[in-house]
Order: sequence, then structure tokens, then C-alpha cells
Amino acid sequence: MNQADIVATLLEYIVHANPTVGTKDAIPLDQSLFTLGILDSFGVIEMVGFVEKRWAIRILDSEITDERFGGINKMAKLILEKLASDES
Amino acid sequence: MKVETSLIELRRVTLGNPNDVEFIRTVRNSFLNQNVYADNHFIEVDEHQSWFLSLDSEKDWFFIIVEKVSRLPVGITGCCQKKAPASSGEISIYLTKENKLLASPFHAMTLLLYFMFDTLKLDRAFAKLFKKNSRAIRFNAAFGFRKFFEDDCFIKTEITAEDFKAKTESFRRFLS
Repeated sequence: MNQADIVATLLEYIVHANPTVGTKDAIPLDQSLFTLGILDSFGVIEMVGFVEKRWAIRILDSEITDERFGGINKMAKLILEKLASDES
Repeated sequence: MKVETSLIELRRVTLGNPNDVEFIRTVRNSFLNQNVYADNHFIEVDEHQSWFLSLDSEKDWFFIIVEKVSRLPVGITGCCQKKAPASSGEISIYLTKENKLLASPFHAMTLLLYFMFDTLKLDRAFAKLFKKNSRAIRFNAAFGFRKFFEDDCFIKTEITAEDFKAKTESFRRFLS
């Protein structure tokens, strides 16, 4: 599992969960989905639920911030960190 | 009085804490011209005091939303029973841009609704939303509120205790 695979899965989820977004290409990878209005607080919680189930990891409440979970690339990086720490 | 989760607490606003009362006015006025209100007038101190004094302390509840990690007040939320039908309450929630945790609005809304249904033992919660406030309408709908009234300016939505709990059961771990 690499970052590109994770990004692709996250984009798939967002387009499916929020059809008004349009296509995956329309979602910036480095901008806050919260600021862009693609996700709201409830959507973030649903997304955390999806991520935890899909990759069998646990996202801490304190990690659900713009800095750690705001954009697609940040989410993917956090997921990779979690997966790596599980393997070690 | 406090209602809390691991991330936030709701601290009840009383006349004994004038800073909290003033915080409500500040937050309310900060949303002028942002498609949040139909009535966009600036609320002066006297008008705000009169409104607060008109509340029924047994039936109208307003809280400051405080993020525990920063101890910062990040918004206000409330439940008014005084003007609502029996066994129900009208909710309100306003978040400033100060919240550091993306989940704070979710926690605040969920806490308020659990407070209404479990502590106050109400059967139903209402929300009155300005039609142009699409973000609030989507957030409200995500919790399971259903529209039951609409005019040129507002929509009104409602949710029962049973529907809310069924909707949020899978998210309870976020509220531990």
C-alpha cells in the first residue's frame, strides 16, 4: 500500500459520499476539504469512520485537525504513518 | 453546569457570568451578512440584555462551546423550550472560526441533542434555518433532521429522539 493507492481510495470515497463534488479530478489534494466546503464536521466524522474500517487503524480525536486530517494528502500521510507503526 | 465529551464542554450561560452573555452577542454579530440570518441588524448591548432577561431559565438553555485542548470558547449553542410545542425544543448552534478540531461542531450538536433527549427528556428537536444557509442545512440534514415547513425565507426541520439515536449510535465512540 503506497500513498497513491490511499489517495485514490480516499477520492473514491469522497465522490461516492458527496456526489455534488463531481469528479475525483475536481478535488484538490493539498487543500483543506473543510475550508473548501467539501466536508463538514459530520462528514469528517463519517470519513474517519470509513478510514478506520478500511485500513483497520484508529484515528485519535486529537488528530482530527486541519493540520493532520484537513486535506487528501494529509489524510494519506497520517494513514501511512499508522500503518507503518502497526507493522513495526 | 457542564455537559462534556472528550473534546469539548458545553458551559451554561447565566446572568452571573456577563462575559459569557456578551460572548453570545459577539458571536451572533460576527455572522452578519453571511447568509445565516434573514434579519441582519447589528445587536446592541441593551437589546441583547433585554433578550437574555426574557429567557426562561427553566426552559431556555444556552451554552458556550469550549474546546478542552485549548480552553478556547469556539461557539454557542442552545435549546429553547419556551416557544416550542410541549416536549420539544428549538435548537441553535453557531461556531466561530476559532475551533482547532474539525470534529467540534459534530460534538457540540450531538451533545446538545443528547442533553435535550436524555437530560431534559424531550421527544423532539426543531431547527429553523435561513434558506440561503446551505452549509447549515446540509449539516442539519446529516444528523437526520427532516424538513416539515418551508416558506420564502426559512425552512423548519425536526428530529425525534429515536431517529437521532439510531442515526448517531455508530458514532458514540467519538463522544466517549
